[in-house]
Amino acid sequence: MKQTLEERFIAAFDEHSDAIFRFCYAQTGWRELARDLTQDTFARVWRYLIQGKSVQQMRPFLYQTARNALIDHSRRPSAQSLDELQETGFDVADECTPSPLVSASAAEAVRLAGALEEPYREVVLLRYVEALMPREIAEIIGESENVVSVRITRGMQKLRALMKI
Amino acid sequence: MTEQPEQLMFHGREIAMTAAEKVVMRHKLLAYTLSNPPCVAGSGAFSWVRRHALVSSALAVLLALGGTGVSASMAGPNDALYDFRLQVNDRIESAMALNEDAQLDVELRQIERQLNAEVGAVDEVLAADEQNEAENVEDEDIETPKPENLNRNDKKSENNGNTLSEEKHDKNNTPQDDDELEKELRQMDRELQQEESAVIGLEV
Repeated sequence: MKQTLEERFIAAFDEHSDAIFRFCYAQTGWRELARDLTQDTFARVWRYLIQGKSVQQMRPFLYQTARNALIDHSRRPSAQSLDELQETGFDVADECTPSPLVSASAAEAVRLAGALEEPYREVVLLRYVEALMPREIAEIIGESENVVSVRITRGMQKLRALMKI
Repeated sequence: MTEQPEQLMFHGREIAMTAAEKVVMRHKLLAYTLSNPPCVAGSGAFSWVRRHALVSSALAVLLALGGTGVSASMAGPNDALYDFRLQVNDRIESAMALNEDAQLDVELRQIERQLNAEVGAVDEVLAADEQNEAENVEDEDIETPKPENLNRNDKKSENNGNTLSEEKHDKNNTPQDDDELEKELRQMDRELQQEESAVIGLEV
C-alpha cells in the first residue's frame, strides 16, 4: 500500500528526529534551542516536499536542512553562539552533568565538540557521533571527500590536544 | 584509563529527545502538515509543465480558430470555409451587436452580403457554362468541312487521273514540282507524236 506524503514525512521524523536533535544540540549546547532547530528543520523539509519536489535520500537531506537552519540562526541578530553562551555563564558540561537526560560521558563528548572550532567541529560530530562516512559528510557540507577527511584528521588532532592525550 | 577521543565522541550518541519532547514535536508537526497540505494541482514541476501545456494548447486553438475565422471572412459560396463563415463568423458578428437594432442591421447586412455572394457565384457558373458551350461550338466548326471545301472535294472526285498533277501543282507550287510537270508533259507529247506517226504509217 502506498504511503501518503504525510505518512512518509512522519516516518522520517520518527526515524531521524533524535539524530537531528543531537546534531543541533552538539552544535549549540542548548537543549531548548536544539529542540526548536529540530522542529524548524522538519518544518522546512515539509515545505520543500509540498512543493512537489522529491528527496532521494532523506538522511543527508535532513542534515543539510538542519545545517542551514543552524547557519540561519547564527546569522540572526539575537542569536547567541556557543562561545557567547559559555562566556555569559552557560556551560554545556555544567548543564549536562547533573541532568538525568544526558549521561556524563555524553556531556563530555558534547563539551569537547563545543570546544572545537569550525570547520572541524561539524565534521568530527558527523563522523564520530552520527557515524557518517566521509562521502556522506561531503555531500551534506558540499565539500569534496578529501577535504572532509583532512578536516576529520585535523579535528581529532585538536581534540587530542584538548584532552592532553 | 582515559578514553580515546573517538570512543568519547561515540558517547554523544546517547543524546536524544525525551519521549515527551518527541511526542509534543510530533503533534506540532502533524498539525503543521494539516495546516499546510500538499498542493495536489497547481504546484510542483509536473503541474507547472501541465499548466503551461494547457495554456499553450489553448493559445494554439485560439490562433487556429482566429486564422480560420480570418480566412473564412473572405470565403465565397464555392469555398470550403463558407459554411464556417455562415455558422461561426456571422453568428459571432451578430452576437457582438450592442442592442437589438444593431443586431438586426448586422443580420440584414449579412443576408445582403450572402445574397450578393450567391448571385455572384451563380453568375460565375452561368458564365463558365456559356464559355464552355462557345468552346464546344468552335470545336465542331473545326471538325465539319465548310461548303467551299465541299465543292472542291466534289471537283476532285470528278477529275481523277490527269488532274492529279495539277492538284499537286496547286497545292505545292514549288520549282521541283514544275520541272516534273514539264517532264510529264513532254513525255506525253512524245507518246502522242509516236502514236500519230504510227497511225499515219498504217494509213499509208
